[in-house]
Amino acid sequence: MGETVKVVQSPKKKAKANRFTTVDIVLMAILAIVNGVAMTYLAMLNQLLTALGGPILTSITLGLYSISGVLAAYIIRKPGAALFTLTLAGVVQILSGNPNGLISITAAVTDGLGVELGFALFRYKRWDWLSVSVSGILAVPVWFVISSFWFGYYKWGMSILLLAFGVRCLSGIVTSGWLSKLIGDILVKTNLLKGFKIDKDRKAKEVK
Amino acid sequence: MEPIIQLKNVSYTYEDETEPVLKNLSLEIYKGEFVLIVGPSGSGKSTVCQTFNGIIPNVLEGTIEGEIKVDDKDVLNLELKDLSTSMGLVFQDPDAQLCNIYVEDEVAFAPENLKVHPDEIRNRIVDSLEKVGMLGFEHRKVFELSGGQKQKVGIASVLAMKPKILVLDNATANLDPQATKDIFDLLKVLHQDYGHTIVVVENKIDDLIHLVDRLLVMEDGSVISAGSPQHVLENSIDKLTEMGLWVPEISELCVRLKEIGFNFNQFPISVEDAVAELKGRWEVNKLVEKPSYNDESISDAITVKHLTYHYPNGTKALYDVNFSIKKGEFVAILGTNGSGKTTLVKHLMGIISPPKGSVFVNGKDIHKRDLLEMTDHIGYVFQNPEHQFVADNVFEETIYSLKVKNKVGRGHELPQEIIDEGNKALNMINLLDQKDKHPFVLSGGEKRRLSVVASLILGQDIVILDEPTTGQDYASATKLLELCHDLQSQGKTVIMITHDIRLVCKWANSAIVMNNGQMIFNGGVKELFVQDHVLKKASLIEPPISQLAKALSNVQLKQGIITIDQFIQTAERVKEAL
Amino acid sequence: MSLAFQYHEKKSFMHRIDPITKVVWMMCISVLVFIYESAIPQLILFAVMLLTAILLANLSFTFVIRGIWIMALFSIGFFIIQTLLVPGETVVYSIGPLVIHKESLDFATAITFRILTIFTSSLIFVATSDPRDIVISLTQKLKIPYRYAYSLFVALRFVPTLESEAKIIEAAQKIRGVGKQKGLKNKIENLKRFSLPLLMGAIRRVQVTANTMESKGYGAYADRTYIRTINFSKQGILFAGAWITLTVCLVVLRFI
Ligand SMILES: Nc1ncnc2c1ncn2[C@@H]1O[C@H](COP(=O)(O)OP(=O)(O)OP(=O)(O)O)[C@@H](O)[C@H]1O
Ligand SMILES: Nc1ncnc2c1ncn2[C@@H]1O[C@H](COP(=O)(O)OP(=O)(O)OP(=O)(O)O)[C@@H](O)[C@H]1O
Ligand SMILES: [Mg+2]
Ligand SMILES: [Mg+2]
Repeated sequence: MGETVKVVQSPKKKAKANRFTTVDIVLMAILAIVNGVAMTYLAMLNQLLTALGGPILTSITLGLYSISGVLAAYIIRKPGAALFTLTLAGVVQILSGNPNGLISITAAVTDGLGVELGFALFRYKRWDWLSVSVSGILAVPVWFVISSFWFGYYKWGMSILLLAFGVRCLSGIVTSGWLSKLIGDILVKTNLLKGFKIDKDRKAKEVK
Repeated sequence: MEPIIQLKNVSYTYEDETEPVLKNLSLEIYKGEFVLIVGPSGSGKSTVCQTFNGIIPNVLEGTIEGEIKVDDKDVLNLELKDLSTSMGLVFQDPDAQLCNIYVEDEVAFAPENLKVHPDEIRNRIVDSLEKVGMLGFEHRKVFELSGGQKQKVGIASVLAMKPKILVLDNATANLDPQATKDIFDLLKVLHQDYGHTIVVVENKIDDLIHLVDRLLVMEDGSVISAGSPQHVLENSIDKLTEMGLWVPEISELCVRLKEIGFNFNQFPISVEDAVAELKGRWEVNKLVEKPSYNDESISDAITVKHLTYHYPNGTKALYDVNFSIKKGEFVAILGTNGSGKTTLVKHLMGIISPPKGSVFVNGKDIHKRDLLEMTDHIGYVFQNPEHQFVADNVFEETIYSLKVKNKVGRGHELPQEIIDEGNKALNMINLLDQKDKHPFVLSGGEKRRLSVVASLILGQDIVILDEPTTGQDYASATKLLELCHDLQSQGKTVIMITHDIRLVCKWANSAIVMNNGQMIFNGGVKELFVQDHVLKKASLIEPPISQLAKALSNVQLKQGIITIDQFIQTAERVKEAL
Repeated sequence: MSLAFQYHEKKSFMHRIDPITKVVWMMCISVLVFIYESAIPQLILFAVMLLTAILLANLSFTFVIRGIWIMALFSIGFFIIQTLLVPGETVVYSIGPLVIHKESLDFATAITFRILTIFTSSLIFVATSDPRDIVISLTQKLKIPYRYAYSLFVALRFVPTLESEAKIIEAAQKIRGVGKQKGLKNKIENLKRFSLPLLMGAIRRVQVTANTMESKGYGAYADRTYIRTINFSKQGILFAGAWITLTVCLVVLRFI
């Protein structure tokens, strides 16, 4: 009789723990587009924004552009997830004929690098309000500098620039960092994320 | 003969779970066999299919013990790439398993990954597409295909790996009856003409069972019976029904006939079998035909007059549709994919605003009426219940519309009447004890029932359901229809779009049949099945019992015999013929 | 606006050129628009883009306009803000407290057309490049592992599916009464109500999709074969070469 007991957790697999699996890749692909799709259909969002009004409007939602990256990192918890997802999102945006070509891919990549750096600062070990806030905020600065040259904001004067920068940072924390954590925590409760690191971490916590 | 798939005492527990999903399971499948696996939801059918090609334990990790041999390869000690050429697996959701943009790339995907030479791949593309009857679709985009076509591409894409074994896990669940039958016919050809070994997991087996060599029944992680379909059905049909499985209608009938003293040479599982056995022993011409119940005094719930509709892109979706539905009726709307069913009911609800004088609800023209106002009169249940969920727990979900209507905001205290109303509704569908759960974690059937009561909490007297039973097993489909039946007996009007003929026959009073945007039938369900030209035009597949009755009758029937009970009743008059 | 890819199957010079060459061309354009901050050169560049779209890419003028009109609207607002906010000296016009300077007008025009030029070049790229060829060049020419490059296909494949799902969710929730309540809090709740089912439906598919791909040998080997191949053409090399030369010359001229 077959008495072979096979516990599949071979050392080879362990070593590869930080490599993306196919599921990771597919999830990142989906997250890269779901954000864009939701935004195009969210008439509600636009209402909300107009209600809030003002020229700082674009800055307020800026965090939403990097949310898929923070969320991907928060679920997959491996180095590179945020950068990969955001880069992909940028490419899809271009192919859909949407924004401004190389500009948007640059924005996507710099956002991704920022978020990535945020989680790297915590050595991909901390996944809480603090680390998502830091990642959310770090998506902002590089692109801010680049875009002020692209679009010629840099001629506007210091006070306006600082104000815009402040709003963007805040937006990064709330609409990118915190929101990702909120969504991630809801998803993991519905058992949809079986097999992802976020679910394993949660189970480990429950055991404690 | 050597088995091509052999599982010996296999137990498997998903990673991070405690309970094993497969328990000491052993099974054998032989070369060239056509095997059907049935079992209740959660019994481990999909899990077992994924052990065949090494997805378990290579991708889905966990603890596995026992021995698995497929095509002389030891699955547990090989990598996925060494196994993938032996078998191809096709899943339920056609959208999830096609990952390429163009049909051609989808079919080329597997051989490209396996480093087959491009010239050879070109040949395989033509071959596989030809087998599934999709030649000429190479440059079409996958997402523009119909569900049935997508599944055929899915099958072609695994055929391109030249597998010996083909495994289909619930692959027809999302398809209309005609598309389902096309897939089954295709399997027959692949099995008989090309010699593939085929393993199929299916819910609805009426049109499939007579094609298969062997039937395996799974329950709770092991195979509890196996054998020829005749044998298994004859001996354990009660058990299967008890487990909540669909069984062939013909076999159900024959079990009843056995009870009243019939003997069969071979237990019938298909209409042809039953005709052969019953010819000359059973006559259906003495039936007393009653006209369908039709009371003129009842007023109309919905009237549609000369309704024509084109989508903005020019698609002609409805053409001069006229009918009326009486209060308290249970109406089924039938027709092939794309015939205009959803477009029609969207007009009834006002999701698409109908022109003046064309749609009347409770006698009032709904032209230019606000959608939100319509929700006071009609409850509309979408095909995927999750799309309609708006709250964080089952109870809030149930009373959501009441809260909106009575303007109970956040922080306000809930009026006692609303609480009572919600509890009553949940009690009706046996979900009261799960009222604090998140709606998304309920089982498929529970979600569906929740979405029905949540849509009807305002006490609307008309309910519209769009394909509510797709992909459900017999038990949960029946529960849902019982719920609709309850609503009907409370005096509500039920309108249901469905592809499920057996359920229509059992529960609905009347039917509307759509074809290419035109209504080609409106009348009693029993009358429908004697109108052959309608059935043919709309590619409706007759319920087996009706086919049998027709085959056994030597006069032209005025009404179809559409349920087992009706069929048996004809026996009261022919007892003496036994 | 839909996220589905905008590739237009046609025959033209730009269609025949491989994607990488076109990316090089786009980069040249980006450098060029970046070195000028006055209106005239930017207007010339924009005109060149329009001509390329019509003559070399066989795109109709209406197509280009339809492609960029949202951006054009955006640019008008942008133009106004820039004109008002950027400081200048020579007064051209003034209404009450509003003073418009020549320098700011020039600068605003330049920046606005910079955006439109970038956008048009990207539109040409997208309309003339088959996404398949893009992925294949990534793997065959840039040696990006195909496992990662392929994610682009997966993403593009699911865009239309998600979009139709989004439409259904919108209608389904409207019927439940979502949207009837007023107030900011409810609006935010509604965002959640919409996004969660969309996200969950998408994630539910992830596992199945990944399993199917794995069982079709995805990632089995480090490389794979292709039924399509990408070749650099002579025309393409000449085209890219010409643009690179032009760019280098202009950059040098500008900074000498
Ligand atoms: N990835 C997974 N991780 C943990 N448990 C799982 C996983 N997939 C399935 N299960 C559990 O394993 C059991 C068997 O599931 P399986 O999908 O094999 O059933 P099934 O017979 O195919 O059901 P259905 O008819 O609904 O498709 C279920 O209890 C299910 O919840
Ligand atoms: N939004 C739309 N825009 C354009 N055409 C559409 C739209 N929705 C449906 N159609 C077309 O209208 C026709 C009728 O579609 P409808 O959805 O009403 O069919 P159905 O009978 O409900 O089919 P199914 O069984 O697949 O649900 C089809 O040809 C379909 O392609
Ligand atoms: Mg299953
Ligand atoms: Mg429909």
